[in-house]
Amino acid sequence: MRIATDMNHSTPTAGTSATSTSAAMSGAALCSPPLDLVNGSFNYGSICGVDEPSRRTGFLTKHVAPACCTRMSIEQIQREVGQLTDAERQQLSAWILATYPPRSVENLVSRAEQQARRGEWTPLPPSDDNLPTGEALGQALKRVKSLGLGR
Amino acid sequence: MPKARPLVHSAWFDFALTRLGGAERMDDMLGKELYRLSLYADLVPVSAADTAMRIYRTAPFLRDDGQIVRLWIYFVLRNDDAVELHHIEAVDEDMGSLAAP
Repeated sequence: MRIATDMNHSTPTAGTSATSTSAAMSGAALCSPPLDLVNGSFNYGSICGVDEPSRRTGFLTKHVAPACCTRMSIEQIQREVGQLTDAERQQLSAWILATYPPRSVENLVSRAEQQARRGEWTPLPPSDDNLPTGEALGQALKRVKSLGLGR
Repeated sequence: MPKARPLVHSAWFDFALTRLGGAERMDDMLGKELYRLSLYADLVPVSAADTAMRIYRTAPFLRDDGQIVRLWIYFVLRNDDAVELHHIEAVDEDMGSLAAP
């Protein structure tokens, strides 16, 4: 499969949908999880407004912040990461990749294709439900225009 | 089954998938829907006369946070038969419209 590198979304663009990926990239509805270096985990609560129970994994604990501070700014995160030893930084990187592995179209489609070949799943043609019409289509076309898609 | 078309996309699209994913079920659904699209992109009509854009939406999906969403995928079917993926987003499903007959 080919990957084009010059398309409309080389940079995030604000979308109109509350949960669009564009919005997610600005840290909105899809709960972009910031690093919580105190707990050695991502802190969903800082974006989503939901307090996640503190999960202390044991590493990074020497950079102890006040107990009230479980939310960190990007600047704080950068500063804390900058203070990590190489071993700790590697540990953090490994944890991030293991917990939030990068996805690609190729990886996801390849897995689905294998499942189809093994007969575990049959890809069906799109039904009417897959094709937006009426007001929903109108909204989608507005997004097409506002995002400058297809130019 | 028709032959799968190549899916052409930007690095942004992969980034969007990473942000949309995070749960095994979501990844599974994303992969299957994109594969369906590669097979049947020609069955999704052009969305308006003045644009080549085609819009495909997945079946409703119950996300881990309890929100029902559909993924909307905006793409163009190129002359060389490749599927050019332009945009993907998760749109909250209106619970009322789901309940309606």
